[in-house]
Amino acid sequence: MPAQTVLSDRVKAAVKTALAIVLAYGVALSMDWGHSYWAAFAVAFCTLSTVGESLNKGLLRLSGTLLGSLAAVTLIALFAQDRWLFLIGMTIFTGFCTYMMSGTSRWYFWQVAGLSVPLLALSGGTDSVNDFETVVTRTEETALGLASYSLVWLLIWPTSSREAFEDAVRRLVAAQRQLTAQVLTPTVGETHDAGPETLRRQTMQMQARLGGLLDGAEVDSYDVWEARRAWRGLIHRLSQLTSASERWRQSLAEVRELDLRRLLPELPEFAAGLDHRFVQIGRMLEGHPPERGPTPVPPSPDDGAIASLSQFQRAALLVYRANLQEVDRLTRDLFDTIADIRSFARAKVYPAYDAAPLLPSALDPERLAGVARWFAGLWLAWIIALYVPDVPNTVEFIVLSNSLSMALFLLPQVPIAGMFLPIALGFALGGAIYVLVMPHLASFASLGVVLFAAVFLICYLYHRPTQAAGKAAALAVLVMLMGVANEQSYNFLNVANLAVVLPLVFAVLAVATHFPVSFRPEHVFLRLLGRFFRACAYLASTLQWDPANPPTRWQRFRRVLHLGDLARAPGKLAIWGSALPAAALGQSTTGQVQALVDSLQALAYRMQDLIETRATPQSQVLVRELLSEVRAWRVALQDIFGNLSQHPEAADFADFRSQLDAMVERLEKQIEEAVAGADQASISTRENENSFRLLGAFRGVSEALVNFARQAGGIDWARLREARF
Amino acid sequence: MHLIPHELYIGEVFFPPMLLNAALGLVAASITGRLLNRFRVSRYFYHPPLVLIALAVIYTGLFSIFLIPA
Repeated sequence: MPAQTVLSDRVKAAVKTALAIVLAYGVALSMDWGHSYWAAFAVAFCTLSTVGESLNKGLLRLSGTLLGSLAAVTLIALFAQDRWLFLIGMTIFTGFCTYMMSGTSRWYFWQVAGLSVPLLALSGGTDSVNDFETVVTRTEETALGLASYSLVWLLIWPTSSREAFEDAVRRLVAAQRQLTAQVLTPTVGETHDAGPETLRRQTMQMQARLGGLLDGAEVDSYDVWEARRAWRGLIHRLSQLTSASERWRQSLAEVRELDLRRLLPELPEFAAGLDHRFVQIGRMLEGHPPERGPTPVPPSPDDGAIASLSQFQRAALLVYRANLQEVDRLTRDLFDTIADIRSFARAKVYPAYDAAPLLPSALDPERLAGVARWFAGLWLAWIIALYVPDVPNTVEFIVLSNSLSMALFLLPQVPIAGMFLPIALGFALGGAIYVLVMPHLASFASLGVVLFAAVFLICYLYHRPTQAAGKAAALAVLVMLMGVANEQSYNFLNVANLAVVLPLVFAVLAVATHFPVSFRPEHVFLRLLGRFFRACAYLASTLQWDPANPPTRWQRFRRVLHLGDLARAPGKLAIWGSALPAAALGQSTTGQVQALVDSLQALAYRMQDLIETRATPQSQVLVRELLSEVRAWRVALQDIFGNLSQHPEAADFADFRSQLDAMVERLEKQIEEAVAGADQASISTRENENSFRLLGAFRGVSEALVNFARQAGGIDWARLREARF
Repeated sequence: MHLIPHELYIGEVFFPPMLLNAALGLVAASITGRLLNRFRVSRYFYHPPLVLIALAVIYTGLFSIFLIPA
């Protein structure tokens, strides 16, 4: 079709959204339903790039509306006569919905349920019949919006979600292949063009989108729906593989000076086998059967060559090999899972899930702070609406404050000024049409043309996925202000009142951004940094736990919480680091902040390695001989982490480097003496290997800390800490 | 002194003087905040966002008394 080559995706998406809104209005007006703009809301908020994604979001909106309607009717029935009990009940329900929005690809269900309660309860007033009718109308209009854009998306330039999802998986597997090759490059002597940093960033971005794409593809395609468990297992495996590849890359630093070809003679063969495995995975994703299954196993060290290594070189090699084994295991699982999805497997595969503990995520302080921000915004709006006389349009004021506060919970780093511009555009456009154009229109055909043009303009201007929230907000204000109805009336006060309400809403949001918890990027960045190092300090202290004396329940609880902080903090720091304003950066650059965050991510991986290795059985000979030195090392780490949690700027690269070198030298001698004095039969055990890996993990953490100190030197801490208006 | 309340009349719409004073107060406070940031004086305040709100209130009060009294 020539149209597909002429029109860009940007124009097509804008045309489809504009058509869907005109269609939704046409049906709602012909059926004489009230609040016809609610159908347009459904279109404005749910349209995404593919049919399945849009349908999925629409279904979430519909089910969220049903839950919100039920809650609104129940609250009105229970507390119609008591304002405060009603507000408390509503706050508990909406607060729960806000809290549940975090960490799920189905966040939209909770968002709609939460924002529907004040909307429906306040729009209907205290008349129970009116309330019920409002709830029914809202549900009808939402379903109408969903049907309208589904029809348009299916008939005009349809884009399959299944294809989009499978294409994303293919690209991710290809990126993983390149990343693996990057790690093997220095060891097997091959060269690759792509930059590792860019690749890693792309991998992270692609991975973040997969969950939402799969949700859409499940709605769009029965094949995907049937294999949904396997697909979810695949996404889980890919995420584990990204983390394992990164740990593997980190462990490369300590073996870089070693002759790996001599120490691991089968490494080139393994590298070729791993690459071939990725090729076969890609082949299966294309729909072709694999030529052969995964064959090579991770290389074993050559005993003769390994004897010539120093103790710490040996430890580093064991850590490197352990990471290699993990990558091998995960790529095998990946191969099996895709073979199962494409029905190339001989036996059914049941991917094993390592269920993530719910507690750390449930008690994440940043998540709770986000709920506090939403709470402050909503109650400030309530108090202004109740006690400040003559505030116009109180329903819109409260509903908008609540909706935007909930949206900010999901994207807390978005500056409020960034949300203001699209809303101002929607207001200006809607106000101009309402005052100047609509009074001259006499038929739906002419109204449809105006609607189409206005919606097209907004969708065309805000076309990027990152601008989706702004686009939805602008469209919502536009249709709200136009207030299209069968018996159209015009009142300048509608525009003037909304002009007063919008700055009030933004004032409320601005206050909630600073009280009770500050969400200024520099404050959140420093808060997260402190929490990260406090977690490191506590986790370092748990290394002394004796396997013979199990820790108390409280200690285990704290450990789980800190492990959660350790895993989450670097990702959040990356987001907030990119949101830091120029005034907070001072002399440092965004690149330097990114490098600092990368060094923290490496430290987090090294800490996790250390904790996992500490849990394995250890050689009693080495434990006895090295106890005091390792304890001194652990205590030194604890002290450094404790100090950094208060003063991250105190990280001194030269001091850390010299401390680490001195410690490694001392231990090197002690290990040699211990090995020389011990019975040779007792030191060739698996426990002995674990002990060397533990030493390697200790060194890995220390090296990561030294690297953090190097990166911290480039940050303008004084400007980052400086108080600003 | 000004016991008879009066309103601003713009394009056939009446506005209370307080609205204009509050808007001007907000603008003046934000300009002051930017200037204090620019010359790095803001670091001497314990909680700058609170100071900004206080400045907005002070400016609004001053404008209500001296610039556009109600």
